[in-house]
Amino acid sequence: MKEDDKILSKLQRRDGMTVPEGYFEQFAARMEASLPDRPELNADFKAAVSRTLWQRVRPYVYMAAMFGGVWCMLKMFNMMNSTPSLSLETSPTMAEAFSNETFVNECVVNNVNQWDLYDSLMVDGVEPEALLDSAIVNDDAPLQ
Amino acid sequence: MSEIPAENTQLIERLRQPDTVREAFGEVIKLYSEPLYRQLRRMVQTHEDADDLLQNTFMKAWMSIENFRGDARLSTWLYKIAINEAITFLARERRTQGLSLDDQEAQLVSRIEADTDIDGDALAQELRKAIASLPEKQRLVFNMKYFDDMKYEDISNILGTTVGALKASYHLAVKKIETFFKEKE
Repeated sequence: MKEDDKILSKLQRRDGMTVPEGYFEQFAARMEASLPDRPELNADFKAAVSRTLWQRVRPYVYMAAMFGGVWCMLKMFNMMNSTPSLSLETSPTMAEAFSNETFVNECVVNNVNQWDLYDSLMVDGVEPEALLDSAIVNDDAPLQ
Repeated sequence: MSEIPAENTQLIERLRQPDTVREAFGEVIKLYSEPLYRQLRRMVQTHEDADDLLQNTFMKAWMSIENFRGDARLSTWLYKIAINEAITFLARERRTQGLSLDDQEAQLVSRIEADTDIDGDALAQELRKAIASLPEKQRLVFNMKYFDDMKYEDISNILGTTVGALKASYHLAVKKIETFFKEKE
């Protein structure tokens, strides 16, 4: 780029503009005198300082919250995947509950759907005819 | 050419203290009046308009001084306000008078010809006319680079444009000014 152009270098960065005599001194005095008082500045500065502090830490807080969220999600998925199936052998609470006949009758048997039970039996290879003689079908209080 | 004052950390610190802010701002006015005035005058051409815009610039800076946090340079902050004032003024003038960009260029040139606050240097007057015929952004970049000898990085911070775009803009402006003078010969 030909920045040292002949005319531009001849002018030596002069713009040829002048101002009235003493303009800048008068301007500064006039401008200072016209500045309104700002008693609220004291509070504004404090607010600006606290806002600045928050604005400075805000990205880190957001980042920490994001990582926290991701960690919680991973933890949740991990728990869902690794929860061992409850069985009478591994869970003493389950074993105790299922040894209680009242609990089994009221909470387990009453909640079993008859059609689910039929499906389960068919999957296990039980013949439909065999069901006719079973206690389930002939029970006084048939399953719903 | 008026030098842009070097950054004064003590002054900036005083601007951030409620009990010293007014006095410090008085110093800011004294320090930056001339460079800002010249920048504004090169955009709007008349002393009266530049004077009005300079007042608006300092008034706006004073009314939002609590927002100056010192992480940007004081000169950059003030130049941004001043340039915004100049651009808004020119846009308002176009809107209220129903002028096109070309009409406004012609108006600026006629203001330069009628200007009495000049040192009588005919070449400088011609250069002002050449600059007035540049597009607004090129005019801004040329003024800051040529007259104020500002670094491209500083201009970039003020105008929010990349250094590469500024270099290209300045290069184009110089070429157009050369062409302007060649056509005059």
